[in-house]
Amino acid sequence: MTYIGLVILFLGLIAQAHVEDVITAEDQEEAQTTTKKAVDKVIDLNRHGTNVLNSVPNAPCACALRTEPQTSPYEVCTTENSYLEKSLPKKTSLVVSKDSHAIDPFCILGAQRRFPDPGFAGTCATLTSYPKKNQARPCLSEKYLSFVYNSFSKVAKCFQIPEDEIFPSLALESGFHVNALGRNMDAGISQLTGDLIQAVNDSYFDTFLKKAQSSSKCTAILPYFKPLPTETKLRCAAMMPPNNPIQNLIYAAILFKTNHQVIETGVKSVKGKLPKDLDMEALIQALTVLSFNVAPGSIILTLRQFISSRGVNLGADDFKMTRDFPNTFASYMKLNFPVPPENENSRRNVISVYVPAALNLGRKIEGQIGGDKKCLPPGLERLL
Amino acid sequence: MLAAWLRKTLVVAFLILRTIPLFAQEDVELQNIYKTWRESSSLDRAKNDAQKVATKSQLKDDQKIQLNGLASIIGMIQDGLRKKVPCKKIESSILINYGDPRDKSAKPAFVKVGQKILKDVCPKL
Repeated sequence: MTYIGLVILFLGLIAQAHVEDVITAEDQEEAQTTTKKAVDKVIDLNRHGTNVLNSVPNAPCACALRTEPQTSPYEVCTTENSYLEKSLPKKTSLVVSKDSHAIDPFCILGAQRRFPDPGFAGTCATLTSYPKKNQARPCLSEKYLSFVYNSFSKVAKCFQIPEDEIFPSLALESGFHVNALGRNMDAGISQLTGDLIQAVNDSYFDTFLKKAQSSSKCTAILPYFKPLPTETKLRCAAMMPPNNPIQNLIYAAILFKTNHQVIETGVKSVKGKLPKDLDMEALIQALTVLSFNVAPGSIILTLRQFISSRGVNLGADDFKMTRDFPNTFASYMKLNFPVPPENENSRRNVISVYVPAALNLGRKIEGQIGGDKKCLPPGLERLL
Repeated sequence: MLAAWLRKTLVVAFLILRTIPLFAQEDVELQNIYKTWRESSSLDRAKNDAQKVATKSQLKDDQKIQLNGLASIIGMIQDGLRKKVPCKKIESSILINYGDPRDKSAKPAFVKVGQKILKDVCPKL
């Protein structure tokens, strides 16, 4: 009888091994599907709640963004969505940056339009009140766009961040809405959580504050350069105008600068092993976009192992951020990226499509704006 | 009789399963590094061991990544201690670089082991 038991167990093991094979084949097949398909799947891209992909049903048409003289790109505010208007400065007009990496203000309006409505906006009575979830998206008025764009420009200028390099992450995370509020109370344009605020406060805030205090480029944002509280009940402090979005964006900027430094140093440390025809700057940009969703050190660890595993057989195409082919870095991340074991597959899936999702969103917004207006850095296109 | 049969089958099954890598504990190598640290109290030795084990060809790539990650975290702890950086700040840097800064509780296995080592070094953390 023991024998029979063992035979049954053995057959069970063979069946399990077969299932493993099937899963691997399915995974590879999935990895070979086009990026567009992968990205267009209704995935909750931001694990904390928001998802500004075009997969949102009934997303409003952004055709009005094409600048036809008789059509206003702005919304007519209603009683339901005008709740932020009274908190905005009375006289606000667009101040367009002349920096070569500056984005067109309509890139931001495009991102705001693509954001689900209603669903991921929160409202606050005061800076210290508890946010109310699932509210209508704020009215896309000229005043609102000017306020958000000018704030974004001021923060980018102070931190010397190329606007087009940070745009894709923020557009994807929050649709550039001051009061975006995710399921886990991730707040504002940078989708700040208590843990993230705490980590920045503990490690970097003071260093960046000192730098800002000694730079003439930061004068405009210095009044808002204050640490945010970490408690969930005080999350309105990271969402409410007029302190926000500047106070909130300062955290995104600190994160961008520190992540960019880790990514740049990491990529440059393997420079000699990278294919000669690979655009290294574009790779740094793409991995910095990804680092808004996952830790930059883990990206570099995965990159190093990818290079080490593939040896000398690497080509520039292998670094494309798509899962079109099983050999790309994106496909490798789907199988190997270090994530918590509890939700390994779903996290890796999101990580491996994050960059194309952010870039495709940027492309779609560029398409809606029309003309030659750019929202993305040109090098990134080559990695799709 | 049935109980005896069941017991025999389970013992044999357990012995078979132990030999199959499919069922091996994924982070056993990481735990071994932690053991090395506890036994030797040497961060250098734990770091070198992690780097050395990561070169083992029979390990899967994701295991190698985690071992190299643990070596990097131990390096960060050493660096922080040398520069007299407060332990809380070292922990935040580890989480920002290797964990999930948005959610402290969502960490890969190597970050958990790294934090355990940091807690041994800084009991007040």
